[in-house]
Amino acid sequence: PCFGLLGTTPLSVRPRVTAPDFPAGRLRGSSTRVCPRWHDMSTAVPPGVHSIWVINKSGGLVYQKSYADVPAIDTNETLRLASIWHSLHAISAQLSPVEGCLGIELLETQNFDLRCVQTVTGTKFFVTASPKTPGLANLLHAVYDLYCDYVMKNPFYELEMPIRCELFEQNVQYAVRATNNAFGY
Amino acid sequence: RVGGRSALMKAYTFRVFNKTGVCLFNHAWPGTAHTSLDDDTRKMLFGSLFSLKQFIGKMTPFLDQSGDGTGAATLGGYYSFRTNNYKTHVHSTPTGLLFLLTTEPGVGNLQDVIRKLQLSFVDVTAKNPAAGGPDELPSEVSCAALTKSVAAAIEAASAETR
Repeated sequence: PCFGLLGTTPLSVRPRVTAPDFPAGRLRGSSTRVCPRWHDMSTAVPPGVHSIWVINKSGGLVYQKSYADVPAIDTNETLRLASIWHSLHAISAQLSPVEGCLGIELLETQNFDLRCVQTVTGTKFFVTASPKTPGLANLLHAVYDLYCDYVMKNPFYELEMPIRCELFEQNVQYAVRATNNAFGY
Repeated sequence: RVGGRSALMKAYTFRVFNKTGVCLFNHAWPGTAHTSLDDDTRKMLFGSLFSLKQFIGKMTPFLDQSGDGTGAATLGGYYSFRTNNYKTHVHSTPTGLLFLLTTEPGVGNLQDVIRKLQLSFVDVTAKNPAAGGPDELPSEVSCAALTKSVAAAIEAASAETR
């Protein structure tokens, strides 16, 4: 159907537009109105890994990238979310009912899982993915290794600043793809 | 905890907060570090849970239909987070009540358990004609009854999962 011509064609020849998941037979000649199940479409969570975030030891965001078809988050918002996560991680250790808590490792919600790893130097790596995605801990350790190799050993990288190292970004992409492929996503 | 892995699932605390952060019910099992909730800890706990709920709403990977930024967390109302030595299960209701259960880190999904605890809480507060209202502190007697039902629910849950 040529949507661009809708304004100029006479009503009788306008193409009939059907909703994407609506069987065409139901619309034509049917007198009952059935609502399309939009809530089904909106709760579709992309499978596999969604995004990877790296936070420096003061709580500032140094790397954030999405690897699935998820709604993009505004840059300022990502900075805010990173510092919120940094404080939540610290508070969870303070509010522990027993001694020796190191902070949140896993957050499981209805629509996504979040796995976090904190290094001994205070840098946090976390990944969001669809619920019950396997292999996230290994992915985070792989990203940490890549961070050590392509960011820390990069003489032009300024510590605690946003990461702009092409090799790091490329290799993280490969690692995410490998995690998704290993489990059939 | 008695014996090894085959023993009771270890729970630390069960707390209920209303939407303004008042702690309506606080039960701590032995072995917990902070059994009573002093004001600063209460505010820190409630504030962090509030921020966590907003965080989940913003990080959720689909477009939030309700538009208030917290729709995702109230869709199912249950989420849990785990650290290396404890796991907290959170259930929130549309009226703003927050049910928190802290257990050992090895447990799985306790959504049913926490729902049962919510129902016993509701029995004692909203359904009790002598109580002030669902948002107020339950009386001493009902606290004792609630404690018993909470302990029983946790025992039942560990009997199921073991």
